[in-house]
Amino acid sequence: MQRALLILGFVLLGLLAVLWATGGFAALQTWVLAGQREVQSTLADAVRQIKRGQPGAFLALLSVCFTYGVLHAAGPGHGKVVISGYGMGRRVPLLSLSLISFGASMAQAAVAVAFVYAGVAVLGWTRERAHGVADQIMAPVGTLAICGVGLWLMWRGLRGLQRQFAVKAHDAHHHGDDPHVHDEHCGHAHGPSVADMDRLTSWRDVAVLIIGIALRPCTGALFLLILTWQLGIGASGVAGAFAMGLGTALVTISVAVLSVWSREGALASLPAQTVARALPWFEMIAGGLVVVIALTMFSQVL
Amino acid sequence: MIGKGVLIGAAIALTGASPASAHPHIFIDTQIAISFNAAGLADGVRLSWAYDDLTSLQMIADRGFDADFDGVLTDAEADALSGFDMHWDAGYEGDTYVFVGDTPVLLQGPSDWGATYANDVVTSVHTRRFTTPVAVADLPLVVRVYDPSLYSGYFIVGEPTLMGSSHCTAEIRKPDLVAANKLFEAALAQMSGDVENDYPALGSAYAEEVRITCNAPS
Repeated sequence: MQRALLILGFVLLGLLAVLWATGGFAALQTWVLAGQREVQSTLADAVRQIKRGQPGAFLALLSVCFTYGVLHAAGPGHGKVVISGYGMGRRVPLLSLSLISFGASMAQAAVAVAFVYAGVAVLGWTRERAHGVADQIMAPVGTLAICGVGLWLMWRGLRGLQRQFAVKAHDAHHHGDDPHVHDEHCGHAHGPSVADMDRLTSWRDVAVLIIGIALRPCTGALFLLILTWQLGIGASGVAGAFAMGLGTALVTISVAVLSVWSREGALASLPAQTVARALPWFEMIAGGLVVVIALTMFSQVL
Repeated sequence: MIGKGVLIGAAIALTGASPASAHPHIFIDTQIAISFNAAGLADGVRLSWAYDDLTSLQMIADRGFDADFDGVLTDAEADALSGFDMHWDAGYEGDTYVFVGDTPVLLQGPSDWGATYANDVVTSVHTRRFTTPVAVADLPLVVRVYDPSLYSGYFIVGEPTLMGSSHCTAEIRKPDLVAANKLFEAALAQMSGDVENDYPALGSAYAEEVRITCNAPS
């Protein structure tokens, strides 16, 4: 049963929440922490091996960077907030959202490379200066961009609701208070239909999401890029930054799958006619959550 | 409001409201030695900080040391390295906190420092003398190592050493992560945007510590 499968997505998410609430994540956290240290050590090892010209070192660096990307993205992160917010809020197809996640991760790596080579290589910044600019300028700007994505989702949800109310007023005028006719009319003619929603993934949406995510550089990538540049093995660092991006993409794509799954699960549990009416609410609430989380991050980066 | 439930559940699961903070970027293996004076009072703590090898590599690269990359510093480089992490900014407390029971013990600034680079790891040592030596009797002496901001994570390694005392024992205590996470969430809920003031309690909640107890000499 497709519907049962969809609702399972919702149940899965509930279980995650319970696990989190009961402290079940503490064990996971210890594991991630140990993993993080392990990865840092392996990363240092790979960089040293490249520097010492040992064979196989480049592949070792790519693989550890990929792992680093996965581990790092598995913690709290802004990319997941944006992707899950958008995935919950809009009826975006799974493939589109996955491609956006992938594109955003690659763009984020490209921004890190451009930032480090413009700052450190061209302008001669020290490592501290580069991290300072990243933390004090790039991070707040990136967070504001994410906040903007949230506001934009809320605004669109609000507009969707406005349209519904306009339609309702229109229907009330024509049909008096017969609820059955009213519902049918709303669902079939004037209300934003599910098909309408599906078509709304425009290039503008894609650009906003990718920029929103990519502007906030990943500290790990900056770190690696600067270190490898200092050691005179910059090309390996650039390749490593993109390998980290691939790792991050794996996680954000999983988040995209989860958010689409749970959104469809929740929608599947609603009667068919109310789906179209529920969507703007989803968008509003998801947008609101993105804004709240972005503002929390903002207070932390300032 | 199924939708709302889903969204909140997702927000929790995906953004991991669980501690962002328990995520140090610098891992420091810490060895602790407590010294006792002739009167049997604890009078200082000696710390050894071994930086994780990525941080060590970065420190060496930042300074342009070890150009031939053979893992050995020149004498001049070794001299220059010594004390690199001992010139503290005003307000930095040194990430070492000592208590008798719950009462803080005042520490002097760092002394007797040095640093080495071996096996791709930078290790620095220093001593913090207690402003006033303290008796360890009914209440244990507690040495907690943490960065309030959690940027650096201090992990106690090896057996703590007790210098000049034969009737004391040391025990390493790890943080209770579940309790620490609860504190973190409580702090998050109260957060007014004034993160500066909310953070210190958190670093301490995730701190490892050495607890020294002494039997009265017979």
